[in-house]
Amino acid sequence: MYADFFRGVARVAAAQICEGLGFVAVQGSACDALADVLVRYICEVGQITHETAELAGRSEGNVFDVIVALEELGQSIESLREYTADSDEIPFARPLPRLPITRRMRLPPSFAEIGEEPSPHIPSFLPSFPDKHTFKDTKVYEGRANDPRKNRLMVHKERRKGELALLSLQDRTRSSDATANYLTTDSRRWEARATPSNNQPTDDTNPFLAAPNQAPCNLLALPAAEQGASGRALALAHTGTKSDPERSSEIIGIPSLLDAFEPTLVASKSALPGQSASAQGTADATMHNLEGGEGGWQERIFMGGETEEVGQLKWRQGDHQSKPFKFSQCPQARRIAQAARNTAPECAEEIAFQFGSIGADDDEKRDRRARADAIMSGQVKGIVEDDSTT
Amino acid sequence: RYDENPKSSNVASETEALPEGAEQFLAMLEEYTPTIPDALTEYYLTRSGCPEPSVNLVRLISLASQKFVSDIAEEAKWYSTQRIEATARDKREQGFDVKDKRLVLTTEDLASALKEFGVNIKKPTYFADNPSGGPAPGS
Repeated sequence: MYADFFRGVARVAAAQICEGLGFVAVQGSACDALADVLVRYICEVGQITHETAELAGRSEGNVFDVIVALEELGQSIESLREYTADSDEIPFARPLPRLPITRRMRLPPSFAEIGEEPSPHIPSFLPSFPDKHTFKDTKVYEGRANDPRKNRLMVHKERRKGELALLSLQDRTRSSDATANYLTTDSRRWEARATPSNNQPTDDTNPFLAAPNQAPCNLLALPAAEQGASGRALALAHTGTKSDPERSSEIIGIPSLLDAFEPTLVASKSALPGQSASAQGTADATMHNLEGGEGGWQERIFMGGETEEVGQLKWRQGDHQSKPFKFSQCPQARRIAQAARNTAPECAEEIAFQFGSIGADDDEKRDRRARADAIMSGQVKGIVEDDSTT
Repeated sequence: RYDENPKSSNVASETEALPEGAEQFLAMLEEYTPTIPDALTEYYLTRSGCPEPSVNLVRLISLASQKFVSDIAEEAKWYSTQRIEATARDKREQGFDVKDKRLVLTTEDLASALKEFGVNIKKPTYFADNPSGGPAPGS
């Protein structure tokens, strides 16, 4: 199997010998002939060596046998010695490995080497079983990154995308008649609720069940959304209606929400995804518009007559570096929602519609936190036992 | 007995068989690197009856082969130089470049050289068929 390989090696060796003698080039067939002669010579020497050894009753040739063979082929030690003295030493061009190349077989590791516990009927020195994935289809699922910061960032990004999309939707649908076409089912239901029917018990003092005023109809004109800008406006408007009935007349004086949201909508027309900063700036401007004339919305967003504490919706105006205004993130949002729930518990549905789940589980959270603190301080073991029993 | 003086049947005596400097020479062979690699010689020796020879033997045989080939090549070189020194007219007759002074080992020169060593690499002459497509003349 190595015949061709060694033929090639012999060719190279012959060519090197010629080169050593001064030849610049050698014809291909001449080189082949010379290589063939070389190989045959080696074989001849070996053969004669072996025959000589056999003649002497040995099976392996030694140096004397070789010398005999060489002399038979017309060479002598002396001539060889002269040859080495005269000519230069030309080693072979490339290093050759010892053929045949043997490689140690890599056995699969045994059970004991891996540390795997085989079934009881299998001794541990035997090679282990192949991995499951070599004969079974084991699915590989992409791991989910658990970086909380990255998750939050992604959530924020998605929300922002949704808001931008909503603004552009408003913009696209704003052109036609504002009032009639955009009454959504929810807002229609709201109207039905507001006009008391015979089936439902009405509560005149409940501001959420009061008939919506004309001005707020403008608010209903914009499609209700969970966290969209219009949703925020709706929420604000309706908390406005919650105020004293005497004040309801003042509500008519609110600016039309379309006017109020004009800067936002203008910005949404030109808002590219990267220009959210300008949109946020116009959100601030929007809120400024909503504040209206005297006192503005700030004073309208309070419940039950409290004027000072809750009412100050804080956001920076004209500060274009501020975050986009979101009602849910407004610091007063939770309190507003909670107060709404407290004052009108029977309107939980509408409150949920307006505020979502802001501040809904606050009581629960507070209790849980208190319990956690207590447990941490190690005082109240009794509570823990109670929990375990329930 | 057969294993007494095992080499005496071929050589005069055991210790005198090796000339004086031969032992040193053989020892020197271990450092000498012949052009023919050891793997080649070992392979062909194994094939022809001397399996797993010692390094000395291998080097000795490869050196001898190298010398053999070198002798042949020298003969060929002599023929080649003869050709170069030939007259310009003779060269042009044979179709060789006059100005070219480089030594190239051609099959012609090699054949002439090998003939002296008893190796015949000349191909016998043959007749090709008639180019017009008819039967070969004389067949």
